[in-house]
Amino acid sequence: MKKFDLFLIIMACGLIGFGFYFSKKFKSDSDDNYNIKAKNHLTKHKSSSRKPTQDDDKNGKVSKNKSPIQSISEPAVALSLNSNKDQQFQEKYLSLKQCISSQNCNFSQEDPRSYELEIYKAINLHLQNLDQISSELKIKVLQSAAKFSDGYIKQTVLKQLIKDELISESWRDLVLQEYISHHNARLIPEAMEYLKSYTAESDRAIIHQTIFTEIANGSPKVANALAENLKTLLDQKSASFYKSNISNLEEGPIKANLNREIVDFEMQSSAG
Amino acid sequence: MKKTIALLVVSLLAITFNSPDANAKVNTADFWKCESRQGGSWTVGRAASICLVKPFQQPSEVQSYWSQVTYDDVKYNSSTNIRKQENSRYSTEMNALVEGFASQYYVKRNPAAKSDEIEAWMKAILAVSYHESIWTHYRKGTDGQMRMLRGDFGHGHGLMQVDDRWHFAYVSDGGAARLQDNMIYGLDLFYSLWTKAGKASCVGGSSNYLARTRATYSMYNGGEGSVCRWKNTSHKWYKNDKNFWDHFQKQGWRQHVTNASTFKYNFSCLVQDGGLKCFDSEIDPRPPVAVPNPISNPAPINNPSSAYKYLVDNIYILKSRSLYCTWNNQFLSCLPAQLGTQCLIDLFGIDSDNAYIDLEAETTQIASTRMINPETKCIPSGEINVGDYISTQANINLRKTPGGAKLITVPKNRNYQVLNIYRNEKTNISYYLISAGSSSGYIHIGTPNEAKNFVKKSYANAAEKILAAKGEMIEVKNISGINMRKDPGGSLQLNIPARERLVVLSRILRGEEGHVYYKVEYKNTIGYVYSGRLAPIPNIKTWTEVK
Repeated sequence: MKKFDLFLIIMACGLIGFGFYFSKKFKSDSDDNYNIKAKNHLTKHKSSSRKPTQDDDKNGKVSKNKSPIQSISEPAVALSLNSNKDQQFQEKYLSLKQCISSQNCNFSQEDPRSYELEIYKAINLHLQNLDQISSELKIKVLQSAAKFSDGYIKQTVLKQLIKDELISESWRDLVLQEYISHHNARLIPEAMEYLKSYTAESDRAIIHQTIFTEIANGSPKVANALAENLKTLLDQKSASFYKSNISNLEEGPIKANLNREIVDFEMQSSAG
Repeated sequence: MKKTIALLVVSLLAITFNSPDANAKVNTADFWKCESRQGGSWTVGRAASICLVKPFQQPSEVQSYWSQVTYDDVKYNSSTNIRKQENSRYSTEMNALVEGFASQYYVKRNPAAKSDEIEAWMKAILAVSYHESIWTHYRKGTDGQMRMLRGDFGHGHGLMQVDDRWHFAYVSDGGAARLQDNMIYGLDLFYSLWTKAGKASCVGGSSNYLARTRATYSMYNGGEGSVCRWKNTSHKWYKNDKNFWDHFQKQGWRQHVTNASTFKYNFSCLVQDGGLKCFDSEIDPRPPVAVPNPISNPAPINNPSSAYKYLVDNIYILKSRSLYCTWNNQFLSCLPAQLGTQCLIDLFGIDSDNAYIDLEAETTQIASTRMINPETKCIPSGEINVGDYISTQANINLRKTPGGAKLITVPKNRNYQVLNIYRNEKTNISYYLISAGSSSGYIHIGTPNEAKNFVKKSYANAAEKILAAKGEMIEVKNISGINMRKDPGGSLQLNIPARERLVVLSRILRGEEGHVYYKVEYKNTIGYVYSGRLAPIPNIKTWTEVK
């Protein structure tokens, strides 16, 4: 059996499992509320994957890449490469990545941090060639590169996800984990724009649970950015979710920002 | 002593915080935007060098809001006794600020944290901020001018030494100069690394706090690949780890800190990045506010004028006569006798011609339910008010919040409509909210005496109109139209479709965010249409446009 076939079977099992999970979950939850289990959920399911749902198909949001979606926790290695180009790309990527831990590559040591920042800069430059490699390798690299803490690399990855319309459970979880739960507020508006593509109820539930958790306990700058940009993702159900949970937030600017978004949404929905 | 100084010099020169969150390197010159540089003594609060804060932050803002944690060089250069007092005062205040900030931050991020974990985190933050800058941020030079720390040949900015080569956008918009912002930026990064350090093999468990602190610092200084650098004595930058550890152990600041900090910060607000508004409740000893007695005999609802008079007579006139506005959000904000006519309309829906009171929902609710935007304070007739037009008299930075991140610079001699006024009554510093093209934000106006240097009153025809006045025409922009209601937020009368044009009969602003309601007539019906809000950033144009 080919690796790809095996993967499809695994994905199908995953989909059935998730379908069961969410049918149970949403039968027991109230219709206008989500459970706040976002972080646990991410931990529990971050390496799962699924086939595109009917909603995905209907909205044309399936990944253009027909290749298997790998677990985000796996490193970008051990892929049988199709071409020299892939091989060269991967070799350089991995060697740059290796430089971070080895600390003995030929990058500037003029100050304590310059060495690592120069590596990030080189990786980001290398990632500008993503469109020249196979989609299989590209996916591997994107999954790996999103985990760098460098804001420019993260931005490059996010732009590529949007450009290639890469939509799946694992991409969703990657963005939630590496962008929404990270501390770089500048990336939040674009990350939320990306998450807008997830229209299935099950996706939205997880997205909003994560966002609320970050608003409550995340980086203050990120929390404010999430609250201020929430209109991108709000619908009746999620607005109701935030409204019923907002009282759990500490008084202050973050809560005020969130409340404002909810009021704006309600005003807009009711035409004033 | 020499050894200590050398250690501090090395710390400041070599240990500049560079976050991996950023960024392509910008080759800023040494001491970029450094005006009127002065030296220091490498003692607490006096790390060299310092440059004027002016290119990044308004000096009067620093003076008004952060004087408690500003080191005074005049006192340093005075007698030994006065210098000692200043060191003690400054260290005590700085200790309170850093401790409070750090603990509040950690509890926000990790509400389930146990006390030993919080304590370990606080010790780490006290040490890292001391190590980075000897707790230096703002410093008033011997000439009385407000300056801030610029370490590492001018590249390291402030308490957490944010590097302008790696964080150019952030430094450039004033983030590194604003003390609370500088701290949040540093804490966000340190927290992220602290979490990672807890899982590092060389730490041996997240509750091994000393090792975790050292590993976090190694990453803070050298990047995530340096997590175990503190154990590698042959590493080029191990010396930084050693110096940090020396500071951590010696806690040099302790020698100056006394128990009593004189200033109470609103840490809960500060760690939420709340800007200068976090000082509203702490820095401002509020004027005595009239406390309304319960209205035992409500005026009849069919006589709103008498209800209004009752409220005014019984609650406000005597106790608040010296004020144009009260400060308590729960109560009506202005004294009618001292209001401008537009303010009467904005706050109470009172048409100044006949003093009619537009009581909401036709009930005798207590005054608190009728509070209008407290930021839209009533300004004495003749002064610039919300809805008025101004002409800029200088290039002024437009900031996201009062004194916050810079968005753009609005040029001199341009005209704008004032959409909100934020003023702290103790500092007397004002900011105007304006819209300039696609950007909306606050411009610094300063104290009433300074205001003329920034703006002067202008005329409606010279600027884009955002907020309509009585008699002006608006067009409905909201795609699904706007509902007309009997009162603001009251019962539905009808829906006015998009693109319909209406004449504004009066205007009401409600709530802290200045929700806008226009009184209009449509198809022989008079009622109110919602039109978005003014603060903190206006969204009126998605509802209506002035024609």
